[in-house]
Amino acid sequence: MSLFQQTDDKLIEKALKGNQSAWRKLVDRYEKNVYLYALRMTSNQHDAMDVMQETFISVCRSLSDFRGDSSFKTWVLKIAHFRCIEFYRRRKWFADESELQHMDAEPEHSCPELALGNSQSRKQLLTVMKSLPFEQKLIVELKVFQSQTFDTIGQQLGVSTNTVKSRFYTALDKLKVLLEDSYDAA
Amino acid sequence: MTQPEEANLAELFDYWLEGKTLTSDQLASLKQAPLWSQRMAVHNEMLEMADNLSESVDVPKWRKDKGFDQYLAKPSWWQRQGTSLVALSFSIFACLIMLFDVRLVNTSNGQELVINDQSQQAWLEQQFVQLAEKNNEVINARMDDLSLKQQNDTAQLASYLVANSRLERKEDIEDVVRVIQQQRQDDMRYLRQQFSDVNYNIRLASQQNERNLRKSDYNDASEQQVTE
Repeated sequence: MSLFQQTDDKLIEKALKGNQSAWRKLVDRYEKNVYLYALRMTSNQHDAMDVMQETFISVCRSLSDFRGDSSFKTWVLKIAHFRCIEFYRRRKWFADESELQHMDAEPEHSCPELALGNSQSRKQLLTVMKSLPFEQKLIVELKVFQSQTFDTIGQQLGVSTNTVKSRFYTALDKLKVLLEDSYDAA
Repeated sequence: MTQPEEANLAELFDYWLEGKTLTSDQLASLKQAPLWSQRMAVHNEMLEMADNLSESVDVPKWRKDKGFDQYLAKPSWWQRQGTSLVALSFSIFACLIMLFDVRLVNTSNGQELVINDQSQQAWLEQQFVQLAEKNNEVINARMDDLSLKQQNDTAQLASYLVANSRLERKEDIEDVVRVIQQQRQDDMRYLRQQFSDVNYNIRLASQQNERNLRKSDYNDASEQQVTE
């Protein structure tokens, strides 16, 4: 953040007073974080856009409830997390493993990023994330990309820290296999 | 690897994940354990791929004010809730004024706000009655005038008809008299002519007779003379 850049709290205060410019600055500051999170979780550009838009609408609606207990970014990503869970519930991909398997078998064009992207690592990341079950994917997201502690993740997901660790290690082992497969395929 | 060693490595891995500083021995022990070194590699690989993704992906254009307009934008003064409440209050006030007949009345003491004013109502009713009476009077007067005018017109018409019929009758009688007189004159002229003819004949006859007498006298005389 540059010296003259307004703090999140200042922008939030202005946005709550109806300052549209302040709201846009907040969105510009965090839209990429939310979009990338949604993209990693959904592996689909359109779904990621939907999740991101729903997230910022929720942020707008609840902005006056933000008390600053955590950073604004953490708060926004937590909302994105809930919107993502809702997204999976709507798609009924959340608990149905068979549908997850079906999702794995979707053609490449279902993911424009994969179809259009020329970056091998980007393609690999979305492919391997897509192959993980939702709960493991969520823990990888929170632990690896958001650097949250196991305790925090456990509280957020309502499971014990050991369960989180166990799922995370399982996810890492599965990712190892998936990455090796993808390198072999490449 | 024994259970305590495994637990120790897991703890070291957690520390490493959280970015805590590990000693070179601890780091070396982690890297020497194939399972944990692979997990470290996968973690690093995922982070690297995430960085690449972040660098290569831009957020597509979208309407960022979607939620702002709905939840955060302050309405203009005429759209605020207070304005509608004031408008509603004025509407209710207007309804009450109509319902309870509230009036601003000019009195000797100045202007007064009167609710359901009976005197005004009575005054109005009186005005209506007076107006109705005046109206009736005017209508009756007009009816009388009309009736009188009709009577006059009828009488005038009757007298005109009578006069007109008398004149016609008089003219008829005069015509009859004139015709009779004309006829009499014609008769008189005819009789006069007749008398004149008779007179002429009589005179002619008398003259003839006189002449005959004279002639017979002469003849007698002559005869006498002759005789003589």
